[in-house]
Amino acid sequence: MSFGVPTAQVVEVTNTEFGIRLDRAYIVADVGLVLDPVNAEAQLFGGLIYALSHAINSELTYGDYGPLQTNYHAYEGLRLYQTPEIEVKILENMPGIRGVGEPGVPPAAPALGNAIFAATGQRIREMPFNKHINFV
Amino acid sequence: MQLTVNGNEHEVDVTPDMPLLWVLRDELNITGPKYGCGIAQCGACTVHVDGVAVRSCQLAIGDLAGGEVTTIEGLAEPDSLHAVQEAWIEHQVAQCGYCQSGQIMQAASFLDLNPEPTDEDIDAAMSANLCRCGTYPRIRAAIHAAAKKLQEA
Repeated sequence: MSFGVPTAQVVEVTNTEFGIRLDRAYIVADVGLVLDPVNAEAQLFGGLIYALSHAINSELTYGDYGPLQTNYHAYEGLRLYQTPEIEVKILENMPGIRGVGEPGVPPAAPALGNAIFAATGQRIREMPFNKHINFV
Repeated sequence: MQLTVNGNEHEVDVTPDMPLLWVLRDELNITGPKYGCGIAQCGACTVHVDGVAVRSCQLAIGDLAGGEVTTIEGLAEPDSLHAVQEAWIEHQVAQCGYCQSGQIMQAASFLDLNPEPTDEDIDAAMSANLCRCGTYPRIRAAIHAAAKKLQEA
């Protein structure tokens, strides 16, 4: 259950000689009644991409006066070349109308962590993952 | 100082080290180009100078050297959209929209140089434009669609 929405994600990676490459990702979410399927899909894959940024390399650390990462050079979001092909499947079995903005976010890091474990045997238990493994 | 933006000549009273982005937004009230980072990390401020995409936060107005500036407001003909804009609408790319004028200007300039891009070409050309909503899959699709439109035009 992800923000009240049953959501599952699978990430596929390849362990290249330069690091982990994200190949594909799959999202299925049962959001109840869908009002706008085009936007619902965009919200779900956008949530996944946003969450992959955090899983891979976005971290805020704090000094005495606030975050030490003052701009995007030190706080990288996912970029287009890193973005996997994404397939979204939306189900309408749950009662009511549920959110689509947030449910795409929480499952992404575990899905990526599982993919990395399957590809390398390495279990990463700290985010962002680039502290422990390289990404291309 | 004088500059030409979207075909219109303007006279602005600013110091030569003012970034073009500031001149456009604060002096000329042309607000399509966005301020995202100010250090060429995000691409939200992308405009064309003589048809080529540049980061307007990094170009001092004194270095413009007579280059003609085009912003998202001037990309299309007055009564029609640019092929990239049409493709963007068809693919419903935008989410919050903040980075999108920069993405579109980057894509339009890129397709000018590379009319038949592969996914790898698109990755290379578009990866300096950040999108925190994660519209990337549709950016990729819309660029392929725009390339097709431009080929058929």
